This record gives sequence, C-alpha cells and structure tokens, in this order.
Amino acid sequence: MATADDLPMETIAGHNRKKTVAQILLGFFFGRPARIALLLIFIAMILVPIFYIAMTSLKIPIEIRTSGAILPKTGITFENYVKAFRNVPLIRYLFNSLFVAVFSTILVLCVAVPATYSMVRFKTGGAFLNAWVLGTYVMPPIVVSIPILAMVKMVSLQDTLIGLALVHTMANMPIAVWLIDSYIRSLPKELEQAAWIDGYTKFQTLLKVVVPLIKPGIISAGVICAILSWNEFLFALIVTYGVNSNTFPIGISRYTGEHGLQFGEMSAAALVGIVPIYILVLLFSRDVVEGLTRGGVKG
Amino acid sequence: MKKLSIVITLLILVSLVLSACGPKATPEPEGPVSFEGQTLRFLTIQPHNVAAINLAAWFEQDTGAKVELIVVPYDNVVEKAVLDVSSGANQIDVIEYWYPGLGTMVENKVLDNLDQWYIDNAAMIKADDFYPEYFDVFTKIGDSRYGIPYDGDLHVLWYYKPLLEKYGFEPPKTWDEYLNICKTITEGEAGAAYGCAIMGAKSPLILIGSFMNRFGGYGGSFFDAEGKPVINSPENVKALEDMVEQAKYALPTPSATAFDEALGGWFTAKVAMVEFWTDLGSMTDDPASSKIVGQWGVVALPKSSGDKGRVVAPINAGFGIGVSAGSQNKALAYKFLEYVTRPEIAARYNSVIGGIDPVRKSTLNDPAFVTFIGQEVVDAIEAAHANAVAWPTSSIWFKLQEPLTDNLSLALTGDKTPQQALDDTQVAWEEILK
Amino acid sequence: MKEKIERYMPKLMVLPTFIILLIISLVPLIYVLGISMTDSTISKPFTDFIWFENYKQAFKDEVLGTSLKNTLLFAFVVTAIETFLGFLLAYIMRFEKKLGQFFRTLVLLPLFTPPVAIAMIWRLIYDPNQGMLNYYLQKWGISTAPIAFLGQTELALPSIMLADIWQWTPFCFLLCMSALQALPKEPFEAAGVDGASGSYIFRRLTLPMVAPNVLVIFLFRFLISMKVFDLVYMLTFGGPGNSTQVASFYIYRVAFKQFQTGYGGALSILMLILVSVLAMVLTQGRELIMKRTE
Repeated sequence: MATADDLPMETIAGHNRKKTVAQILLGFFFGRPARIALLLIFIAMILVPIFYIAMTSLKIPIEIRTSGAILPKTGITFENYVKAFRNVPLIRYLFNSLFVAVFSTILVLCVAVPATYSMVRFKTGGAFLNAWVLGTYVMPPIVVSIPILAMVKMVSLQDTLIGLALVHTMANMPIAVWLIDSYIRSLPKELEQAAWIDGYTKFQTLLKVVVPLIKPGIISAGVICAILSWNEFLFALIVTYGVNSNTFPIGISRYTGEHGLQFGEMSAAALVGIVPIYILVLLFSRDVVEGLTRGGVKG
Repeated sequence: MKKLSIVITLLILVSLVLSACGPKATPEPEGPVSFEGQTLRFLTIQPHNVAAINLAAWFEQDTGAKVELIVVPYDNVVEKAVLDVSSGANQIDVIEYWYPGLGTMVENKVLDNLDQWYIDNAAMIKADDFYPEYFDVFTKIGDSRYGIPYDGDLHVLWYYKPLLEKYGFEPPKTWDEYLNICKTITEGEAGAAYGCAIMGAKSPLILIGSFMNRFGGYGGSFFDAEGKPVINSPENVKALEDMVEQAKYALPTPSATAFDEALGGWFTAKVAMVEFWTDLGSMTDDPASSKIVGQWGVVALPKSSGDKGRVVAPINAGFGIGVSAGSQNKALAYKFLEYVTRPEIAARYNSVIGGIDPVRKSTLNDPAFVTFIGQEVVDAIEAAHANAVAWPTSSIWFKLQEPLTDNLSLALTGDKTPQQALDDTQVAWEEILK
Repeated sequence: MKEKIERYMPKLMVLPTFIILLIISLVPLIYVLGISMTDSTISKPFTDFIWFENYKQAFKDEVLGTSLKNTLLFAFVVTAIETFLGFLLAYIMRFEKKLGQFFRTLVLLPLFTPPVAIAMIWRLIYDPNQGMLNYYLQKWGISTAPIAFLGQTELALPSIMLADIWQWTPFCFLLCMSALQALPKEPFEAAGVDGASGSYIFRRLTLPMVAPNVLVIFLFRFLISMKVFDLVYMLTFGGPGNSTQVASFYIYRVAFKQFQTGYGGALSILMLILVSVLAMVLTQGRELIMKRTE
C-alpha cells in the first residue's frame, strides 16, 4: 500500500532548478513553515467554538449572559452539569442515539454493498437507477415526512428505536451507495473474473474477493452514515416522541427553560455527548480514520 | 479492526438488554379507579418543561400513574399534535397547545370535544373561576369547548428602576413617552445599556406579539366588525412606523431578539424597559440568573397619545390543555385533565418557578401565589385583565400569520416601508380569505 | 435452479435497495404528487382536486423565488469554500505526517457535533450583547458598536454560511484526503527521480490527477447543501425579512406551519425537479470523469 505519501518531501523538492517568481512564491506556499502555520490556523478555527462550548459549560449562568470572553472570569462551577443531568434524561438519549446510529449503519451496509456491486459490475438498473439513488438522497426530508410517519405507524414501530433506525437506514442508504461506488469501480475486473473461473458464484465473489478489497470504502461509508445518523434532527423530531426513542440532538434542544435558553446546561450536555464519541474515534483512529482516508485500493 | 468489532458487538448486546428493560407498551387495564403502573404521555413545550416535571411528579404521587413528557419547542407544539393524529401514530394522550392554533387543531380533529365533560364535572371545574377573557378564546371554537385554560400570558411593561431614575423618568404612559425614554437612555448610555428591548425575531408569536402591543394601544385591530381584514388601517400603519422608529434605539437588534436575547439584556441590567409576560418578576428575583434582583417595576403597556388610544394587555402566548382525539388511554387522559383543572393544583403549579401564569381568579388571590410573585405584580396582572385582548383563533389564522410575520420582519429591516408591508399583508390576506 | 439464481444474482443484490427506494421515494412521491393537485390540509388529504392551480400559484410566489435564489447562492458559496479548504487541509496533511496524524481526529470534531449543538454555540458566538465575536471585535478595537450578525439583512446569510463551513469542511477534507491517498505512486516516484520541484509536481501531477475527484466532491456536497434546514431553523427562522429563507425551510413552513399540504406538495415537487436535474447532471458528469480517468 505504498503511495506518494511515503516519499519524503525533501527528496522531491530538493533539486534546484531555475525558478520564476511565481514558482518561488508557490515554493514558499508549499514550504514547511507555511504549511505548519496554515495547519495551526485551521486547527485553531476548528477548536475555538468547541473550546467555547467547554468554557461556557463551566461558567456561572449569569456570566454567560454578561460577557463574551471565552475564559470564565468569575470562577468556575459544575452546577451546569448537575442540572443538565437532573432536568433531562441525558444518558438515555445518548444511548438511544448510539443504538440508532450503529443499528442503522449495519443495515445500510448490508443493503448497499451488494447493490452497489451489482450496479457497478453488472450495470443493473443503468443510469436511471444511479440517478434515482442520488435523487433520493438529495430529496429534502421534509417532503417525505408525512408519508414516512404514516408508514412507520403501519408497521407499528412509531416511538421505537428500531423505527427510527429503519428510517435512518432508508435515508442514508443512497449516500452509502454513492461512497462505495468509486471503490468498486477502481477494482480490476480481472480479480473477479479469476474468481469466477475458480467456480465462485457472483455472491461468493462479492463476499470473498470484493468485500475484503474495498474494506476501507466500507469503513468510510459506515462511519459517515453513523455520523449522519448521530446528528440527524428532522426525522428524529417527527418519528420519535418521548424518552424511549428521543435521540441526543432532540435531547439537547430541550434545554430551554423558563429563563430562556440555558446555554450553560446546553453546553454541558453537548460536551457530555461529544466527548465519548471523540474518545472512541481517538481510540480507533488507526482503524477508522486511517481506513476512512486510505481510499485507494491498489493491491 | 478487532477492537472495533468488539465494541460494536458490546453495544448491540447492551442495547438489546436495555430495550428489553424498557417500559411495556400497553399496560393491562385494571379497575376504573387505580391508574397504578399506567403511563400517560403529555405533550408540553420547552419553556414549561420544569412546570411539567413538577406536575408529573405530583400526579404520580396522587394517582400512581407515570407521566411521560414529550417536550417540543414552543412553536412546534401544534404541528407535533396534528402530525401525531393525522398520521395515525396516536402516541399522545394530553396536549398543551398554543391557543391561536386551537382552530387549526379542531379543524384537523386533534382534540376531543369536551362539552359533555364540562357538564359532568361542573362542580369540580368551577368555570366561573376562570378569567372570562381567557376561558372562551383558549377553549372554544364555534359552540363547543376543546380544552381548559392552563397558562395565561399577558404582556405588561417591565422597567429597571435605576436606569429610569438616573435620567429622571417615570415609567411611560404613552408610546411617545416610551420612544423618548428609550432614545434618551440609549444615547446617554452609549452602548453600556439601552432604553428598551423589542422582540422582533422572525417568529409569529414573538413578532406579531410586539406589533400587537403597539397597534392595540393605537386602537387598531386585525379585522373589522364584519370580520374583513383591516391590517393596513391607518392605526396599524402608525403603530408599525413607531415600532420601526423605536427599533433604532432598542437593544441590538430587534430583528434577532427573541425572548432569550431580551431576557439576557434584562437580567444583566442592559435594558431599561421590556414588554414581557407577567412571570418576569419572579424570575428576575432569582439571584442565580439575574443581576437586578428587586430593582424592577411593572406597569401596563403604554397607549397612543391620540384620542383613539387605549391601554391594552395582549395575550401573546397563552396555552390550553386538551385531550388528544388519538389517545389510546382516554380514562387516564381525562384523569390528568381533571387533575390539572383543579383550582388547588393550579395554585400549586403557579406558585413555583415554571413559567405558568394564573388563569384562575382564585390563583391570583392564593396566599402562596401572592408571596411567590409579589403584590406589585398581582396588582399589575389584575389591572391588565381588564384590558386583555386576544389573538384570533380560527382555523385560518395559521395561514394568515405567516405573511404578516414576513412583512413585519421586512419592515423592521427597512426592506419595505411600514405602509407597503401592511398593504402587502392585506393583499395576501384577502387572497387567502377568498 | 442454481444457475437461475446465479443469472438473477445481480438483480437480487439490488432488490433490497430497490425496495427501499420504492418506500422512501416512490410512495411519498406519488403521495406528494397527488396532494399537490389538491387543495388539501394535513388531516384531509386528497380533497378538492384543482389540477395545476397550486403550480400556477407557485410561479407567482415571490417568497419561493427568494428562497430558491438563497438556496442556490448558499449552496454554491459554502460548497466552493468547503471544497477548497478541505482540499488545502488534506494536501497539507499529506506532508506533515506526524502532525497530521495527531491533528486528523481533531479536524473531524465538528462532524461529530450534532447540528443542534452547533447552532446553539454559533447563536452564542454571534449574539450582539453577550457573544464572543462581538466581545473580541470590540476589545481589539475592530468595531465600536455591537454588530448583529443574525439580525441584519446583508449579514445573516453569510453568518449562517460561516457556521455551515465550520461544520462541513471536515467532511470535504475527509473525501479529499481519500482522493489524494488513492493517487498511484509511480508517477510521483518518477518525478522525484527526475528532480522536479514541489510546486511543479503539484501543478503537473497532483492537480490534474486529483481534479476530477475534487469536482465530484464539489458536486456531491453542492447537492447535500441544497437541503440546508437545521441551521436556518435554529438560527434565524428565515429572517430577518426573507434574507435567509431557503427552499426546504419554506416548504416546511407552508406544509407544517400553515398546514397547506396541497401547496406544500407542489413546492416540494418543484424543488424535487430542480434537484433531480442537478443530480442527473452530477451522475452524468461523474460518468464522464470516471471514463476519462479509467
């Protein structure tokens, strides 16, 4: 799996040739200091709002209303956390979200991988099916919400986690097809043909030859679907009701009290929700993030 | 990869166990008396979350039935209820609704007709005890009743004493005085504080409420005596012109001020005057969230200085409670309705922080409530009731309020003149009403 | 029998997807199409058949025009910036292996944060009186008076765009990273041996090879961003005026606030046609690109 990455930059850029001004500028742009500076700016931009959430969750409520300074000035308090857990069943919401995300993602992959393989290799459905899949994904969920809720009711899954997970499965299936598509395309056909000659059926070929090769694609599609499900708001708002099935995003929006939005409690809740996921991603960053970005499959 | 699959497997296991432990869907019907072990689903709004949590705890204590809260943003409650019943999901038993949506809910057959219930329970209900200005608009469509009043929500004018005193002002009696005070303080404080806060965020409840506070005082209205729209009447245009003028000196910026932002300014002594609901005083005296404990006063809204001017107290917001037509446990739902209706329970949930304002005369005179909210506010509420004006509640109102909100917002941003904005609204309304 | 199964295997593999597509798009589509020709409300669907009246009304609807314009503007601007930043970030990280590995998960953080929380924090950041942005703008003397980012016609949409860019750049970064990693190794090795400079390699090798994929990422994100709803719903409600009114929010308003499901249905169909045309362009474009690179 060696790629262009594995070449040390210096050996590429090391040789001196005559340079135009533009090239020197570009050279600086791609020089190490500029790269690191840019990287740090990016990281700062991304982290400042998250850090602001973290600090807000530690502030005394009145200070949140008074000052926009990031760091707490009048001391820190954990009261927001206590309240966040007391007024809203936060743990249950987190668990609900996790269940829906994992369950729907597994289902999505089981459905999307064979479908994509068939669409790419055997041109099943042709361009029409392709466009249909994509069209479905870009369809604004609001358009389908009434019939969807009626259908969920038809199978008596309203206000259940399974019901919401099925809705998410349907909603995320198109994006999984779209993401896995290019991985299958990049596979050399010869491998599969060899498998057929060896007497593999098409399904066996898919399972034993194709799936192992496109594992990074499957992981990346899976992670993206899980994230989309984890964050999803509109369907959750419509299909779920109470504590049995409300997800974390719905839960956070409950921190509005008689004093208006409770920014402190909301921040505390948001942090409680994102930190475990973040730790999970950090723990598996080698598996998940590497796999997510590995992409190209050149045996 | 191995770690990942172990975690996933564990998650699935845990989730299966947890979902198996969840409450069972339909409990066995027992006797008519005991609701022990049953669960009621109460659709309520976020700002009333704490009130509903209290209510649920008391109800469980008294009847043994659990109350599961379905909490949605205040402007989603009507659509959640309508969607629940029209899709056939039928998960909700009791609904707290915003009263201008009552007609829409009745038209969509979301609420049970309560006429018989009112007759059967007249002694307990004590309908005379409800403020008449709430009772009919909150519950009645045509000749039938579909709910009970729950949260009365009048607007009055709150002021922060130190700021008004600093500039030698009395609280305003007319909107001209209001503008003058607002302008003087805002200019004098140069950004440290503002003379007034105007809620003009683009949500019907917020924006139309602020507009109504003004045109009411000018003698304007939505419809004439025959029910024809007169939204672009001279009084209404004048009111909107004044509102746009006032907005220039208000807490930045009215277009993005909903009640969260207004409260933020108020609690931190940045705002001298704000039109708000009657429970603001008790909230302001909570030192955990307010810097101006005990430093406020309250009066009726200003009126126009012209001869048509009158003092009004618009019922902006205001909630009723009804039984969902789709409820699968009507016995329990009616038990809960009865519980919430009881005068002594009403006094109880009005006397703790929770955002509920009295709908019963007996609540206003309840000693616990008077202690809780303060005599000054009780007087202000009493005075305001004489001048209460309600929003329309017919089923067409939800269609009408959106173009009005659009145009009011456009007038506030200066994209349209007040005259043009209201003329356009008039055209849109006539089109809808055709 | 076995052979028969084998022959129909490709179709069998697509079957579940096909069923899902039917459920999630065809059934609702028929429902919406039917309802769009009636004057129905939410609880009385399919009453008062009025043919194309709703569509006629839509073509006269100024707010619809505004919201379509806003949607396209929003989608184009955020997609362009997100793809550019995402690519830049991915490109930099290729060379900073150690740092990159450390930062990679940090960069993804916005993706794991629910939009509800994101909207909450940006609302606090933008607040003119208690927000972070105004606090520092004033402290550093950049502005004297508080700026109402979400309360001014000309600033509201850009402010929502910024929040969206913060949220979605990591997504584009991921896809760009994936595209970059998929580049074949040989041409770069050859260039290294020839002693080509870094910028030369970038212009002559990396960019041409990766451009088609980046274009696909751009188109893909463009289509997703047309759905923008959460941020508008939680930050501005389409206001002030109609400055942040976008299509899906407008449809939501018509169908769920005014309960004009008939008219809402017609708007949905129009939006769907627009999006399908764009999606068609996208799939065809991708097909062409894939052919050229194969």
